[in-house]
Amino acid sequence: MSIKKQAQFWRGFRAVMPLWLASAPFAVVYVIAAQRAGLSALEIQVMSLSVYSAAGQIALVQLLGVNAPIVTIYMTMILMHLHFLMYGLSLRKGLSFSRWERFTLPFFLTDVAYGVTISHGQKASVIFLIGAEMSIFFIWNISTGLANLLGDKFVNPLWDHLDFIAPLTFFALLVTLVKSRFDTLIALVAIGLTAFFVTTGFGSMSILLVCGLAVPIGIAGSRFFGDSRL
Amino acid sequence: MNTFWIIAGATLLIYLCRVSGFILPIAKQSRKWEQVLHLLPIIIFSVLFISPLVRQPDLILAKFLSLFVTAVIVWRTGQLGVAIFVGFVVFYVLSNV
Repeated sequence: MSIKKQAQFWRGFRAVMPLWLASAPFAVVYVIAAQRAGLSALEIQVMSLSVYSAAGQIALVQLLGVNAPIVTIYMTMILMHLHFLMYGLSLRKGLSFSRWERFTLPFFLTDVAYGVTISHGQKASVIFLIGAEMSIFFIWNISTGLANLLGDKFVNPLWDHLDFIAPLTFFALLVTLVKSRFDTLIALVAIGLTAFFVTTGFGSMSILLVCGLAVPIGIAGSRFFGDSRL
Repeated sequence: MNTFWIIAGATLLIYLCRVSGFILPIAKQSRKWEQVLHLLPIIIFSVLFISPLVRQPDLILAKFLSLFVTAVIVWRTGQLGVAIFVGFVVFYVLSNV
């Protein structure tokens, strides 16, 4: 890899590091839930290496713990991850992927890797995305391994607060994207819709529902407000 | 069914969700897609940051003050890492007051 590409890789890797602290409490929650569901240490680690989705893994082990039907398990996994379709479409707007990259990089794609890459705009590249993905993959699996190994000793009262880093990071990323009053208005519409869907029990489906409603509202609104960028 | 097979099935399904956006054919020059792709990140980040706050509204004042400080630092400096670190410190201090 050329020096320039190495620099891009490490920029992406470092860009995600503020979220490393947040992975520990989620890893503990996942490992404890998995142990209660009767999974072995190997199964727990393999899931982090393969499924590689904090929310997805927690939901999966909870469903395994109650012997949920396989159809229920798989439908839940699909519904929780359908929004990744939008991430791929969004990333293709600014980045050019080779055939090989289009089939390999998605395996490691997460909300955070997507968010950090998009927020870097023109400064991001495919190599930057790879760095961001590897950073999260590395820390998630290390955290799982440590939680697996140390069990209760890995729990720390500080973990109670660390899960706030994730929403804090997404908020910071949102701030970098909001460049006009219209963008602010769309964000507020999305926030309002999310609050409604989450409080009425739509859970992880909320992201799809909000996108399904807020995008047409935004497109219609852009004609009304005359946002020239759209 | 053996747990490893269930994990394998879940892995495949989640991978298909992740890869779908990379392989679906789209008209790159479509204006409609440009509009959608401009709005998507704003909407997605709004959902991702507000969902946990709605699900767990404890210490909400501390969280909102922390978000305000984070926003100010991002606007003034553009430094994401610094903003997140300072914002979290503000939240941690306020939550322990």
